[in-house]
Amino acid sequence: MESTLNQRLSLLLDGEASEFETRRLVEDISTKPHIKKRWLEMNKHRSALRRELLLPHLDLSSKIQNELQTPKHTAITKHYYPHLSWVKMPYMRTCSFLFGLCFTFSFLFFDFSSQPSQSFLQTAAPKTLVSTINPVILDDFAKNFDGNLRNYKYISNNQIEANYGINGSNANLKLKFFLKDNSKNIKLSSVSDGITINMKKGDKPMIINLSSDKLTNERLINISNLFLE
Amino acid sequence: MENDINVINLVRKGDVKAFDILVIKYQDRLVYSVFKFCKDLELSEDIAQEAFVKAFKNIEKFRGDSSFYTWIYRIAINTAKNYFSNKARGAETYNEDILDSALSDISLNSDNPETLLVAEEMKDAINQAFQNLPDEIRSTLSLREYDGLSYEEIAKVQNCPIGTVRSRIFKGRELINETFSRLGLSKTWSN
Repeated sequence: MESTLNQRLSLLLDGEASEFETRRLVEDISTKPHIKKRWLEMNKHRSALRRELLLPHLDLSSKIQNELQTPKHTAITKHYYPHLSWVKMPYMRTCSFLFGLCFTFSFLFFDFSSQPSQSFLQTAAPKTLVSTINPVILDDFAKNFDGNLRNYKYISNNQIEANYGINGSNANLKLKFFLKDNSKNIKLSSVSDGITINMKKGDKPMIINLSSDKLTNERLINISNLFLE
Repeated sequence: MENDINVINLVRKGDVKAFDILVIKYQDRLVYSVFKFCKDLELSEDIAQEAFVKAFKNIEKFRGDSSFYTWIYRIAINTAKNYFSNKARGAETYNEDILDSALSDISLNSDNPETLLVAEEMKDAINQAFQNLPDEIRSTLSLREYDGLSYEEIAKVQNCPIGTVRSRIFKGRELINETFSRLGLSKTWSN
């Protein structure tokens, strides 16, 4: 099974996969994190073999996907709703107000010191969360609580949301990952329930919000402790 | 020349996921090439990223008379040129001759020598694994990776069926991967 997959990926790598097979692989790579991981590995091997490898961890794909999807949406909105241009100013004011409100509340509810902690100071700040987290890592997180990654989406450059199923039950678990960088700007929004923890993945700072329709807060705390361990 | 026509046809139909395949395939090579030009890792990443976005938006303009990589490489270089002219700096660095020069002193110019050292170790390890491959497999993989021949061309050169070429290349990659796993280096990609 694994061998067949590798063989298919090997053909894709060399541009020798048929049109049908290419379509299948594109779908598989985009939906199955372990296949994407293998695809990434094969390409890293090739880059290393050709001595064109600079950064072993480099993966621009998530950032680019995010960037491609965001402006597209804006363009469509402008195209289809030109008659709504008169609402632009009030809309902007409302957005600014809401943004300010979220920003203020994030300081009220979360204990963010004005200076980054010592451990954060030692870490080079990632430019975006997307550069820190890739789907493979999201998949790995599920191993902490015997779950499985159902889907994920990028909310913004600084935020990713992943939905997991808990094996052996019909409970779900939603994880929201946020960037925390060395600057004083806290890029945190849309946390309304569940529990939130500060942690590090490797040497990178990370904030995670855990929430679920069915799991109790106690259970969420237990799961978060597993992350922290 | 790399043949990405099937993937590109999907991208032309607006398939963003298919474009991901190309990004993963060419990101290292592109960042490496841009780095030779601007000698700044972070900037190289940003330029490569912008080049990919531009490529996606202009995919209709890709005529296919060169490889996708050649095309996106030109986009990246133009992006870098624009960057340097806008910033009114890098007048000395901005010299296309540099693009062809060898990258012998990477670690000296890098902001992140530790990462580059890891990359260098990996390149050495993988090249060692490549050298240890059985002769037939190594020569087939070499024609593919270093000479860029298609499976059909390799079959002609080596006077063997195309299926043999396919299995030798696959086997070679599997052996290299096994060496990597044995050395515990595979984890590095996804950490």
